[in-house]
Amino acid sequence: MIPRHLKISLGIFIAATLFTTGYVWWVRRHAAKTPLTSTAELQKQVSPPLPTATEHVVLYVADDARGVLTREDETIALPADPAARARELLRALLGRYTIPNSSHPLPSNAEIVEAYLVQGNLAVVNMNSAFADSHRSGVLVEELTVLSLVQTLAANIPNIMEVKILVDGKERETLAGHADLSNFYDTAVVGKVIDQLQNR
Amino acid sequence: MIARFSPDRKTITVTPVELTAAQAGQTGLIAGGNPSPPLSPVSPAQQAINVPSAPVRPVVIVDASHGGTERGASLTDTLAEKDVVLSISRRVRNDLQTRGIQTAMLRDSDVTLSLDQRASLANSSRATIYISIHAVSSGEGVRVYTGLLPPPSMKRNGPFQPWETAQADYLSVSQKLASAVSSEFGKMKLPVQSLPAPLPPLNHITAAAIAVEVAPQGGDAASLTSIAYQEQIANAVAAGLGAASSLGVGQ
Repeated sequence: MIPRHLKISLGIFIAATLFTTGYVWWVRRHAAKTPLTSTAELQKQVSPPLPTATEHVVLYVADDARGVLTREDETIALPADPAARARELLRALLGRYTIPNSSHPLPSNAEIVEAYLVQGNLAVVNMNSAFADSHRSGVLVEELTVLSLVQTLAANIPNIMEVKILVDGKERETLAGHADLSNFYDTAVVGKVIDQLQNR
Repeated sequence: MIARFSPDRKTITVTPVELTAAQAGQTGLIAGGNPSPPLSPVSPAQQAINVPSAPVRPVVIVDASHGGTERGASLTDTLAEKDVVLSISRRVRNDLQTRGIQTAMLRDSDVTLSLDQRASLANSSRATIYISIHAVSSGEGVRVYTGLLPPPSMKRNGPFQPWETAQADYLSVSQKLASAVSSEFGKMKLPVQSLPAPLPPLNHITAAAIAVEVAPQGGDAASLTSIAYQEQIANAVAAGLGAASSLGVGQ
């Protein structure tokens, strides 16, 4: 004679098994009816970054020995986003200064952290603290660095009228004790100074 | 006094120059007096002796850049820009005074002055010529700078001038002064460059204002301490000022 409580347990077990089997069958059938996300859509969602196109740019490279900026042509990969373009331009320029025997040596750990464009005509350049802290101190050597950054931006990104330089995201009085970083640099004024430097 | 506009340019705040008692005692903004020996420490008692009873308005302000905790460029492992420029500045002052030109120094000891303090002290002295002295370990010869002014961002309102472009009214006389001083360096066969520079506090000075940056001779930074070289620099600056005066600069 089977005890009553075992009969009840067996009944519950059989009912649960039937319910689970039915649920699994329903889920599989529902999944078969639901269309899969197309391959194209999947690729759209996780598309890798497109390769940037190389472009011809002009870099204004400082030359300490002659106290001038040299206009140099270069072809570099530039993204489409204007702010990213500004950043990559300045990184390309900085690459000229962190190599051995540079005409205007800067510390190897100097970096352009980011560049921003505000309303299309103001460029804000954020350099790391090593850039400024390890920069050689002197009026001309600091001026050449600043003019080089400003003029390279102005020459390659249309409509930039002013440039502001920050260090680690903060305003700083001078680059390394001399060149003013507290104000905005007007690209037209800088252009005239560079003309004056070249024609001296 | 310094007048500052709020970011929206609707409010103006006028504040006195923040100068500590120690700084006030150590700045050399005194006319006349006995010139201090180059780089020799000056005791408070000596400073007190040097203070004239009736201050005289200086014609020329010589600003030995940097100072105190702000060392400027490290010219050698042991030589700081602030010390070299103090020595040169004292020689410039002595040379000018020998020529009968009333001259004062913004600092005559190893004291820290902010850039705004320098401009405020120079402006309040009502001197007509301001010269800032700098030194550098690279290059050669001398560079003479005038201010690099941004376009005026606001209209001038009555007697107030925007702090950022206070030099604007004086830029043409500053350029004449730079030309005269450069010419004197040229006569001494010293390589000289003259150009605008974003060098504070030049843009805040309400007088003919230039900066002179002295590079070493033969690439040897130690030459910046040479008495003969410093005297040569001082003579050229003083002679340039004399020539500029004849052109009406500083009148």
